[in-house]
Amino acid sequence: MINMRTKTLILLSVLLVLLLGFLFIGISMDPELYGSHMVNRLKAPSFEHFFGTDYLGHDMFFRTIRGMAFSIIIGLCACTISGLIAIALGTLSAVCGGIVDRVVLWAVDLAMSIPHLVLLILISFALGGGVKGVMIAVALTHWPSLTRVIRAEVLRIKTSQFVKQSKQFGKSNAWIAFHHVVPHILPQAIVGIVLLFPHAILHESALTFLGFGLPLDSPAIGAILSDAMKFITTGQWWLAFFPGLILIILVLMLFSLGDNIKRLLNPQTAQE
Amino acid sequence: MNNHVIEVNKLSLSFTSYGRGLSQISTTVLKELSLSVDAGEVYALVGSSGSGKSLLAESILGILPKNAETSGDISFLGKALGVGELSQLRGKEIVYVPQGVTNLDPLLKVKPQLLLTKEMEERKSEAFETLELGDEVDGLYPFELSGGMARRVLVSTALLVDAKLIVADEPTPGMTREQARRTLQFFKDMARDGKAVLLITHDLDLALEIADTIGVFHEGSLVEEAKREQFYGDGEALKSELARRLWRALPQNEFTDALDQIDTSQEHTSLDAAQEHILEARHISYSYPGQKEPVLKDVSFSIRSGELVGLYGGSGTGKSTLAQILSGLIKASEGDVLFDGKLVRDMVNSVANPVQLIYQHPELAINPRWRMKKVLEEVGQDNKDLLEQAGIKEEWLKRYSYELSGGELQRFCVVRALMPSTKVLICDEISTMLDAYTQAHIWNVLTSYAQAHNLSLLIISHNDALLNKLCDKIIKLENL
Repeated sequence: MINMRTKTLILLSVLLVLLLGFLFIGISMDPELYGSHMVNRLKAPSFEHFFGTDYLGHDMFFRTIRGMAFSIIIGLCACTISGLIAIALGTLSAVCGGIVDRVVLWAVDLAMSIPHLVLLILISFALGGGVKGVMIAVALTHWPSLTRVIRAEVLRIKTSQFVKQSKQFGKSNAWIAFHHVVPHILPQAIVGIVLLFPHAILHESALTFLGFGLPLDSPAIGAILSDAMKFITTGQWWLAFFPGLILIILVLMLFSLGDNIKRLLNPQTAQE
Repeated sequence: MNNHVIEVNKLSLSFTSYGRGLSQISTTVLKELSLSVDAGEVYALVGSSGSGKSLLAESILGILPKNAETSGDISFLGKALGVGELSQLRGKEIVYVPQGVTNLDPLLKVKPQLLLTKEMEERKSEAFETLELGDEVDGLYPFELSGGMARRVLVSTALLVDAKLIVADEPTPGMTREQARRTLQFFKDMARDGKAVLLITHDLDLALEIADTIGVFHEGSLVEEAKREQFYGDGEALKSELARRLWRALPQNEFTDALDQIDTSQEHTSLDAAQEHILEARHISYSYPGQKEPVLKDVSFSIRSGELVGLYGGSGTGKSTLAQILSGLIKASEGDVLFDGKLVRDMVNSVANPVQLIYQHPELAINPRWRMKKVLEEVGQDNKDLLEQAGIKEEWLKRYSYELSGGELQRFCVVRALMPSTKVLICDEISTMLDAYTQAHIWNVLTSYAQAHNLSLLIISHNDALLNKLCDKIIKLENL
């Protein structure tokens, strides 16, 4: 019987292979492979072109891999930057309290009160679009909800009986932070960051799809999908189908990995 | 045809859990357990904490955790039922009074929480009256209730529907003897009305007062099923050694600990009256934030070094608050607490506080992500003799807190509070949740340590029999 730990481990390995595979193959790929070859225009999927070709004769298989590599880079950036912001602000707000707490909460509320996509468009547009615009927009807008989670968790631990006891035993605040608080926050942060990854990827695609991100001729998933819309009615289904499918599969796998890790790290549900 | 309301036949229950790495292991908790309860009968299942009593209740109600596997069958009114059918009877034919006060929704006031239908309204006022809950309780949130009040609110749910079977899991801890007695009487009255009552408790003493049949439960099976009349004298009418041992561990009997037979009451000689006062509470008043009426009003008393002092008070009289004020965790609205002439409040968070506090719920006072080894390492407790005396097994050190029972955890809390620097130890209802046997054991460890190290104990409890047995002096909170 396959249990939850084994399942999670398999999922994790498959995902790592996929992500690293996309990343390295995508980056080191010969640009000729996803370049334009006008002889092969609008070919249906075949063994020669797994995902078919578009109206400029781009091979969609290689283009998708290249696009995913770019999405993954953006996702990683967003995870690192937003994750760090969330951990720093959340902890600061819970530990300092008072005015610091209020300012952080105010910033979280402010960021959350603007629809996420609108905020992304705003930042990306203000920075003139392109790779830089998308990257900064996605990296800077994914911290608010994780900040709240971290803040609440630190507050809960800070006021718990076992921390009170620790103080009674004469432990310093630094000791308590390192031994009591960090072990509780770390799983929350890991789960939060893993779950942030697919969000960032989807948002990157959405931005480009709507025309506020990367230029439409660049090999990015959003650009591919946006371009493919025009061809759906004329029967070139493969242009949207395969890239979209790959994106969805990756995102769903990331979400379920995050959920599984969350359950395994929680002592109450770890045994189910 | 029999008239059993509920019949449990050879019920076995096991849990799967992760071992090292990816492997899973299965632990058996209930072994071929059989019992039945008739209409009009009160059946008390008595067993030590952590023996799996509550799991039987959860099986009957069909609310077991997902990693549980069962075999055997449960029939209700003569009909064998599966888990799905059992959970449908819950709340209609079977009523459950849960153990934990966390079973109340923290975001709902008491009244909307209890009343699901119109008919319940009338029954509720009747129930509240019997349980001494005022009408003002209706509008309170669960966190505004004291431990004992929350428990009485839970008990009142048993009266709201017309059920055939009532399963009550530890309904009385946190109540005074008198309240507990009345609450149980309440279950007895329900049995008189033709209902079946299955009472799960660690408290043999209370079980004896109302139960018709008593099942003694140990390590997953029933070791003895006896009528109430069989408990007398030295327990000569009881068949098993364990049942006799439980019977003898009651405070009004010998209160001896079968493990090492320390008898504290004789050892403890009266103290020299000239002994200095080590802990002094001066005119302490405290009111909860946002409330005008103070819960503690001008409380003053002092404790000599090496003295065992009892603090008696009913549920909701501010005992736990006082405990936290005394150990410097909360600042009193007025008044000071002095240890050896210095303010206790200044000692928290710098060096190990000479005034230590043991809480009522050990599972909250231990970091759930730590193994027990680390819990002891936090305070540098490596006194092997003390660990052994407290009955802490080597293999427990590798476990997490949720893998140990309340009684086992409380031993860790006691041992870690007994640091060399500790001079006064405040015990806030530390044995309420424990069975008589574990209780006796823990108190014996504590009192003999106190005797040997000239440690003062302040024992907070609502159990007067216990305090009378242990303490040199008893302070009644109501009289202060």
